[in-house]
Amino acid sequence: MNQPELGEVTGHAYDARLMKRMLRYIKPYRWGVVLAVILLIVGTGLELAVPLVVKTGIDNHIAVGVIDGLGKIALLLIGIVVLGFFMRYFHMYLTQWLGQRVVLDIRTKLFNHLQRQDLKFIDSKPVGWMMTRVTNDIQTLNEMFTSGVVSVIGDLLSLIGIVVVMLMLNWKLALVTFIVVPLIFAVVFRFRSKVQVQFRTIREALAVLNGFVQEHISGIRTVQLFGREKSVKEKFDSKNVVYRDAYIKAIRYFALFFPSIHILSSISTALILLVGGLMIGQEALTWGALVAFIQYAERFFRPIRDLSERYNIMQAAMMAAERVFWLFDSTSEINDPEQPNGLEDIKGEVTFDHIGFEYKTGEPVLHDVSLQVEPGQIVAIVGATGSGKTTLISLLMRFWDVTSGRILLDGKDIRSLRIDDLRKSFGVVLQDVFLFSGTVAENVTLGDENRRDGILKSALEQANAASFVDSLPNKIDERVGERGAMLSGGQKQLLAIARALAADPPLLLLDEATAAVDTETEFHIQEALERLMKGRTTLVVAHRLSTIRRADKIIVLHKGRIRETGTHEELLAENGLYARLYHLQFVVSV
Amino acid sequence: MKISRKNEYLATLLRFLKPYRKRIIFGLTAAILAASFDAIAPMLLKAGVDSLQQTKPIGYLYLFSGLIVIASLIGGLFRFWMRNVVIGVSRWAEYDIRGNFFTHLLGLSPSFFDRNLTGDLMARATDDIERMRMVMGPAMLYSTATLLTLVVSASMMIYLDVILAGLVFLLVPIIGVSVFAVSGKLHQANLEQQETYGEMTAYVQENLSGIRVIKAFAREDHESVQFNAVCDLYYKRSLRVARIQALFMPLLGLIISLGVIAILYLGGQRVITEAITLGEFIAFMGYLSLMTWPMISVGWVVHLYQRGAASHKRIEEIVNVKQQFKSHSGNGDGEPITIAPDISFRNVNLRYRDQGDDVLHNITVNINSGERIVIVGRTGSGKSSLVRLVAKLYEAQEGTILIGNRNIDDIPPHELRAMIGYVDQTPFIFSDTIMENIRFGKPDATDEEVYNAAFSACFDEDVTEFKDGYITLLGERGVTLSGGQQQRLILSRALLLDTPILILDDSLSAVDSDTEAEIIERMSQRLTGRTTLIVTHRLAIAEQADSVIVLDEGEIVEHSSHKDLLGRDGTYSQMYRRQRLSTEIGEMM
Repeated sequence: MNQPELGEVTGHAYDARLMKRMLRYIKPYRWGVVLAVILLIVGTGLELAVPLVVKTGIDNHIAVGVIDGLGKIALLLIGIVVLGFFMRYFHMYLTQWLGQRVVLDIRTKLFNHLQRQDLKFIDSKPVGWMMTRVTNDIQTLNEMFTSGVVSVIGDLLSLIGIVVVMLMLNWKLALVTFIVVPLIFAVVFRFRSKVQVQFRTIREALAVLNGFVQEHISGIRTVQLFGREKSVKEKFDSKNVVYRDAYIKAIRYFALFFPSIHILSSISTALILLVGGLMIGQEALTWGALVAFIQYAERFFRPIRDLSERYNIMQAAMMAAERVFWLFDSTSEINDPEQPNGLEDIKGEVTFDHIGFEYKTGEPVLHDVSLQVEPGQIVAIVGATGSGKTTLISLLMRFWDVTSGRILLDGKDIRSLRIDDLRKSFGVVLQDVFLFSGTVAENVTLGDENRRDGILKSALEQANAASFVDSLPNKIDERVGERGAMLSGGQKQLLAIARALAADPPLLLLDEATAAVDTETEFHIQEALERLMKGRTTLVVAHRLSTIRRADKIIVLHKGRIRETGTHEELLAENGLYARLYHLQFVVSV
Repeated sequence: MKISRKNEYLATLLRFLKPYRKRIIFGLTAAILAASFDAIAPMLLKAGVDSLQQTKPIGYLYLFSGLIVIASLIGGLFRFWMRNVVIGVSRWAEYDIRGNFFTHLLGLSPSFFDRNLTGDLMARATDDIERMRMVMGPAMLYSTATLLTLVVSASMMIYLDVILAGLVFLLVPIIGVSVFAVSGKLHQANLEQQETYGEMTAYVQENLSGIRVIKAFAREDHESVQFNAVCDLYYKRSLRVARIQALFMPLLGLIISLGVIAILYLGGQRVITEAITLGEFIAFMGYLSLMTWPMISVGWVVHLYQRGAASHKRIEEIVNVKQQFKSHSGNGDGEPITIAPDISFRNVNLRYRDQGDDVLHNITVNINSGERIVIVGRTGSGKSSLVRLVAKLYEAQEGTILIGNRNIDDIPPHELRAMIGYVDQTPFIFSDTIMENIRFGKPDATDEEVYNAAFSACFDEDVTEFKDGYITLLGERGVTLSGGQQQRLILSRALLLDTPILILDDSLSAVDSDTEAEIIERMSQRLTGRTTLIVTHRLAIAEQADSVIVLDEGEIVEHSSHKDLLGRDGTYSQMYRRQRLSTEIGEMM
């Protein structure tokens, strides 16, 4: 199945396959649906009864001059409309409830599904695109429930009811009234095909516009610093215009459609007056029936008029459903095994056993890498950018799976472990520190309330972050802004270390930040890392000489292969690649 | 208070509709005509019925039936115009509002974007603006149609039978009261619902952006629970809106039905007592049913209006944020400056929060034309803040900054920007080609100029390694650059401008020191005669600088040449010795 991108979707208002899948989400609330339909049937029945009662009033009382009993008829009508009011109220509330309920289920499920996808999938999709699926598309599904499906059923019921009642009242006049029906179909179909095409154009224009806005809000500072506001505004305008004009074109179709239906409805009223009048002259029709016919005819056109709107809603909903289910169908290539090995009392032995890896087929990043890390050891991985250092860490965490060979943790293939068990056994400090927009405390504990008090405090202290956190106006409850915008680079790194300390894992994966910070902060970070590594098996992509010297083993990666292995002294004595790198670096650096 | 806010809402709507007043007048005229022609039909029906009852020749019946069709044809034509114009205008106004909103965003200060999440701003730019449009389009269309239909039908009813008409009008205050009672509640409920929607959007966006951390710490379950809580709140708030709505529309329907019944009962009696004819009675029922849908749509219009008010408030929250630049009195058409100006700070204090501590305190310093200044200091000492003041990314609360002897506040924004090339700490790459990314600040730059800039930033070799070279697509749908490559790209972008002042705000942190030295070397040729401010942690660069500014806790503690400072045994020499001794190895190759 192709990814339903922009306008690639078929655009049908009804798709049995999608409907079936949707029904699965409705199933838990089937009694609610049954009740809603019952309320709808009763409500529609009551509504249709009104003209009939009015007819009786006219025929038996008003037209023949009998006041007696007119009051009773009025009371009966009051009863009907009051009952009808309650039916409508409960029905509307119930459908809203159903819609919101189902949407809540789908939304939370989709979100959960999405964040459990592998990185291969997530990295291939723009964040904005996925975001729109979870918010907008699901919102559209809600509209289908509240003003789409159920209302369509209601409209159909109402149409059938009207046709039946009219035929029963006077089948000849009824048939005359229905003369315009083929014309209605013609108008509706013509309209539908036009609007369908136009709406696709609109959606494409909207996607382009939103994408542009999103990107330029994110990059606003660059726009401002380069003084490009004017040209960005112009580009924005051109996209805004396309979107507006696409809609203006669609408006014309609507502006034609509604009056056309109105005219057709008037034609049928005129026909009723004319033919009905003739029939009354021949005493083949009563006055009351004539009035009832006129009222029914009016009601007959209302659902047809609304049908076009419902059609739009359904069409939009089907496309939303298509995209949402497409996401649901994407399966992560990295999953829990069916019968996972248990992982208890982790010793911390890590083995890379002849692994190979490629992100893209045919472009290997790692070749035949074998590495043994004993419990408690610190292993430093060094090498140039692009040598595959960070990839090793990603593989160990199962962000990706190896293409060949295997990785073992305590002698067990990591693919045989539950992913959560595996990842929880590592503490991770990544190069790019990602902070959430919540508070300092939330970022360190990652929302785990159990860690909030004692553990949080000691983690901050051990990470040398306590002093700067204390200087913040709200201390640990200070909000750090989107991606930690309120903090400096060094502060973010300290918080990332505190985060790993709070998780207190048996193993540690470090991807040392290359970004230089000032010397004092650097000392703080080193000290904190020192504490973090203590007693833990550590695999570190190293940039700091202090870390490298301290390592029990140094791995020199070059173009995806291990070139040298040993301690700092051993490697220097070997006078190979490491020694060259080391001397080069030492001479140049201050 | 409440009233003034509502007035503001109306005023905003009117302001955006004003440019289209001619079209609106045209649309309203069409609406009046459409309503009038619609109102003819029941009268024709009455005439037809009366002609039947009085057993007039059958020709009359044909005449009146024919007239009904003709009236609806003419009415339909006006309807077409009405809808075309009114809804069309709403799209134009929406276009204007969105344009305004976006333009306003472009002028807001960096601290605004630190505080506001992109996801939430997006929700406002899309959903909220659409909701405001719904007020100016459909809500306006339906309310006008309702009002006109009411007026026309009411006049016809009065003409037909004053007493029965009076009875119908009793309904108006009842409807008025219920609309009033409900709308306040609806407003509040809508506001809360929209707020939660924004939260939800922002949550998803952030979660997906930080997915690596979530996965690395196996926090997916916890994130799901949190998200469920937000969704649950949204669900509850949506239901509150639903409950009010579900009550409102059927209630209006009920009130009107009761009116119909009263007509049937009292009107019927009046037919029997021959106070009115059967035809008049039928016409009366006709007018009432003509009024029914417009009346019920009042409920919908109120809902749209209140929803729009909530969205309007959210838009205004942003639009009312002060633009970054204070109004300036300096004249905007000065000669483009090519000679690097002096920069001087006089007693400058800067705070991020109004109540907070000074981030920079009592900064007084002169930087001469063409000097290369290196600014060093600990994390949080205010280095970046200092250079950001020059680029006017922040504005100082106290003190003055002079550039070429002009107060920075008197320099028009575009002139200031043309003067300063600023290379940010965190690179932003557009999803466009490398070429266009570098050319961003100077779209008419030749390819040659771009190559030269990339060469100076040591980015040229990286580019040639890509299959598509300079036309390699970057960003979400293209290639992802490494941190160092990103930094060198945005350096190229700034160098291309050849501005008299260049600021590097710790912008080579991800570049290894070898490459950094090479970049400084290559840039030097370009930068002769230009004033350069470099914020860095690597003191190696300081050796080649004209002078070094050392900041500590927001104050300048030392300012002199590298040599001079080394001899002084102050903060700088300590830092320098420590870094020399420090076992920092940095990138290894």
